[in-house]
Amino acid sequence: MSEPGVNAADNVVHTTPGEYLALVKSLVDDGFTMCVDLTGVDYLTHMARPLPADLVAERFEVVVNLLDLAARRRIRVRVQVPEAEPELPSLFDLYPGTEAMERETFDMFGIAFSGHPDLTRILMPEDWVGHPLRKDYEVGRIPVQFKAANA
Amino acid sequence: MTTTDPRPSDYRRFVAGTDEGDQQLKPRSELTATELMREVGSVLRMSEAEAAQLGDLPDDPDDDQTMIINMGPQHPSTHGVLRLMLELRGETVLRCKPIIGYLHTGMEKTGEQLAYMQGGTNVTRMDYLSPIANELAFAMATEQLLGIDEDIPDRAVWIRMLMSEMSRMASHLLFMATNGMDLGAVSMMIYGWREREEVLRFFQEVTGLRMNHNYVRPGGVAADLPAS
Amino acid sequence: MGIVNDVLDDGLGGLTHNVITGKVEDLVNWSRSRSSWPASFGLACCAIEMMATGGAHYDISRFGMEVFRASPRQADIMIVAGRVSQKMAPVLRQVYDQMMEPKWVISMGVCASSGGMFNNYAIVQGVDQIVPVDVYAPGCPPTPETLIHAIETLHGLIETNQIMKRRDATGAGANIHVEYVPVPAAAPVLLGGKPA
Repeated sequence: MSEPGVNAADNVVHTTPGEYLALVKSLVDDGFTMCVDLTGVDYLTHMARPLPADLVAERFEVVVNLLDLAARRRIRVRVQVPEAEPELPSLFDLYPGTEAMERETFDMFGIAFSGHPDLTRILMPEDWVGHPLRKDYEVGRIPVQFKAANA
Repeated sequence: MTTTDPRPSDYRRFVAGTDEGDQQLKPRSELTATELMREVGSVLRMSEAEAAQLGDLPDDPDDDQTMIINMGPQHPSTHGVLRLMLELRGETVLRCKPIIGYLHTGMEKTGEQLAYMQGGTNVTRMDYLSPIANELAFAMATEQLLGIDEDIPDRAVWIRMLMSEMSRMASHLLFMATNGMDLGAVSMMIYGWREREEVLRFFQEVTGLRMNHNYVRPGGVAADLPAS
Repeated sequence: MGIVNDVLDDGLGGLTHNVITGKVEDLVNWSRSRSSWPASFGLACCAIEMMATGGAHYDISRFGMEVFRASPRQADIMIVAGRVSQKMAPVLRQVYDQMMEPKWVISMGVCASSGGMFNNYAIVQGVDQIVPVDVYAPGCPPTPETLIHAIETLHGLIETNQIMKRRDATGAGANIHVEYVPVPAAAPVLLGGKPA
């Protein structure tokens, strides 16, 4: 599946929400024992990005980096997540460490993970409204009197 | 996948050599009800119905002596803001749920608004114990994306390495200082901070700031080392 | 022995050069300023510089402040060191409320004083929106010299009783009472949403 020493950026697998869990399960069985990171991306401002031809480009992507500790291989899984139905199966049963990472993705992007034991906000207060890292969420600056750059 | 085991033989030796015997972490399906309750229930939000579904737990007469205590975000040992909800029996910790997010700064969102030369100021405050390391990661990522990572001057590469290692030393001195204090060796705190002052004095000489220097930037470093 | 001989020779008049008289208020302020214990509220990078100030090189033990009390009930000064996020703000107010009078607040660093370089949704733009601040120490992070200058400024204010007088006059400072504003049920506070 991949050679040892290859960068995760050079070894990417694209998939859809339907095949996501089966793909990750097969990677776990193949030896990728560690989930290094699970995060989301909002492509609202550049939807025209290079993707395999048979894949529909959606607004959100969830990117999972996996690591095979024994054979030193890395792989990256990118899932397209539609804006209308931002939901994916949770990887908690395969990798318990994704509990916090999926909560962060939910908090910051609004992508829900079904099967997660406790999907609540982790970085913002629990009654916060809005998902901050979406591209249409304002930075929330207050006006500053003497500020020449970056108005 | 293929039917033959694609993993090399040293992998199998690795797995056999690191087997933990009785303490091996069993897969979820093989856990008993109490262990499962402890592991998944450490989320501390399981309702009574879910807990009852895990099966009949043996009647533990010591159970009514457990306390759930909040080790709050302001605490001298948590070193920064970490909130721990602990279930204690005496001094033994049975379950622990960490609650984080008290230092969420919105750095990723702020970083979207900054220029590449300003990005270092944002990134350097992520791990404030060793600021140069964050700047180095950001600078290297930017250079790789811009395609200029072959063109960094050699002297800059060496200076970056020197500064990163000094930063690592500062961070590790701080770790030893605070760890010693937590374990009770309070004078370790004084020794660690004293040695750290030497490193910080070096940083002040080179970058102008004791901490959070915007020194390693995409393309090299901000300025050459001073003559002294 | 000299004192005893003085008293034997002159009676109580022999004690005059060993006795200081003054007002109780002055004595109390003098001792308060030289023994003000900080409540540790170190949050981020400024906490590192605060601990460095407590270290051996820049010693605040010479000002009587090396004991960083963990419990706010035993502390006098709250040095808010670091950036206060939205989630941490109620905790900050709670710790401040648990401190006993007289209490003072030093806002250390630019993130605590005004939000600093993080002018965004996640950081409270200045802890003076939450607690009343007496001295602001700028810097990112302020060097220990700056922090010591801020502490000494506060000590000076305590010693001359200016702080208490000002608070009595305006009702400000530790006497701030925050009015409870009930949240309107239908309108949550939204920070996001660029115009389409």
